[in-house]
Amino acid sequence: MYKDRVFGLKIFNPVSDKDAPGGLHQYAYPATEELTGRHADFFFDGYGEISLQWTDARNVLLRGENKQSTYPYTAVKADDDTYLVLISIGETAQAPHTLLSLVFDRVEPMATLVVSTLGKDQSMPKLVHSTPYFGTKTINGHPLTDQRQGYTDALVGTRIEWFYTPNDAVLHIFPSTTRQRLGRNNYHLAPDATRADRDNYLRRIEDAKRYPFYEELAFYVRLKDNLYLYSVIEYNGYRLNPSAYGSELMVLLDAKRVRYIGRTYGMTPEDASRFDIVGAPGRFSDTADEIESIPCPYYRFDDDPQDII
Amino acid sequence: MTVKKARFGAMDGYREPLCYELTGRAVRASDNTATWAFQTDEMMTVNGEATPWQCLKLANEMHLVSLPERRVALFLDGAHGRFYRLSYEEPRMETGGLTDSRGVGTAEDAPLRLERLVGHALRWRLSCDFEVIQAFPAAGTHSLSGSLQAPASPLDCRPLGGDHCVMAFQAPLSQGENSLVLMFCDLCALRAVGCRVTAAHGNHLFSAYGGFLREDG
Repeated sequence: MYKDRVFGLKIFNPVSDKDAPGGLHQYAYPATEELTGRHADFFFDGYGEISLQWTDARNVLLRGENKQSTYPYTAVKADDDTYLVLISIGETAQAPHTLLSLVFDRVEPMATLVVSTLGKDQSMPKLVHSTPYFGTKTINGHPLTDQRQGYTDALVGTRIEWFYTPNDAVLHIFPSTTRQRLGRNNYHLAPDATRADRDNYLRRIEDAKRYPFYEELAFYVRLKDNLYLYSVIEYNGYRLNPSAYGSELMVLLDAKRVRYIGRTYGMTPEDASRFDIVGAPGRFSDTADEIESIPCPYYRFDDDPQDII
Repeated sequence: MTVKKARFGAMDGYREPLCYELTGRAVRASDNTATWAFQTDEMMTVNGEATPWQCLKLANEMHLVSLPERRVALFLDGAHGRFYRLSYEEPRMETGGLTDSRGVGTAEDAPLRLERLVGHALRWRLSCDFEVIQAFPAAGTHSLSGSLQAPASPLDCRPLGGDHCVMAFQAPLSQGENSLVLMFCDLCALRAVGCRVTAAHGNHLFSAYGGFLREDG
């Protein structure tokens, strides 16, 4: 199903008069308000201590080593016990903007914090930079464990087809511990496509001449049995077209149920930073995509930013 | 090291994370026939009697609660101040008003025109290896199978407000046992949460992700 992608194909719905959420949002489930009134302290190697007080369903008081402030937050659950908390820090594209993505378990002590930044490198202002930090909950400043979550190669050699909408599926391929690929698509245009759909379709056709298949920088973390985090940043795409690429997709994969919840983070065309909750059901595929025969990594990262091939 | 590909049973493979938002809250039927008090993440009381519970969240203030020991599925629609209850002993959906709800329904919250379902079919994915086609051949009926030509059976389908609706129906199991299903759908996002209630095998919460079949196939 992922092999044929039809730009501008409307989601057929004879019942609802509203437009479907579509995109990566269609099947994402709602945010949780379970954290309201709760408090948790953490220590992350290389990052330091943070303390969070969820004052209500929308706001969290975040204390770091030198300052504290209240921010809006969004929380979703990856499984029955695991939370993903997103805290957006900073307002404008001119100054660096940071998104904290905190993953922790309501029972187990280990936690992971992904710090993602826009505007850090002014030569690439719309490219996300992202770093994971591994740590633990603390009580009165005392770490609850010396154990840490960490990088994994468990997904290497596997692939998952994600069903984003009734019309769209995407194949995520995990060829190494530092790269992620998408299965190859054949692009089509719906007969009743809008002008924007047509422009997007033509851009993809044009991009494919210089960027023949999607391979991007990634990292993979094992959170616990059957629960993984992976992050993909569109660095290659950004070098090709900074206005269309450069975002980060972060996935919390429940490998037992084969569904994910996660978020995208990047710069909008209006130069505002933005994150969105996304998710999908999926299935592991045993069938290799044709691009898996190409050695990985394929693209160089020490070459001219204008020449990715 | 390789990833484990262990799988759940077909029906609850895609089940979304359990929701504990109701813990610490109590809601009451407006006719005073029932009070549901969610004391801990695992235990609640129904009119003062303790029983285990589990919950899935369809949307803000819309929660599906499974009471497995009572063989009951309960939907608390705090957004519109109503509850819906299906019991294995009385296989007919009951509904009533809620007090203490945090109603968020608005004047624009017009209900779905469910008569538009007639003549259409939804393909629901429930796990990576299980999907079902729910066809609506006539008002008040549906068929559940991999075939649009399957015999139709009764369906109690009601609009809730916005793009949400509730469905209650019987679904025979392969062993000949009957089961009841209470299912809440967002027919814009084409996402649903449900609870199957059986006599011998307990309750099963599930999530489903759908798409209408196009008339051209």
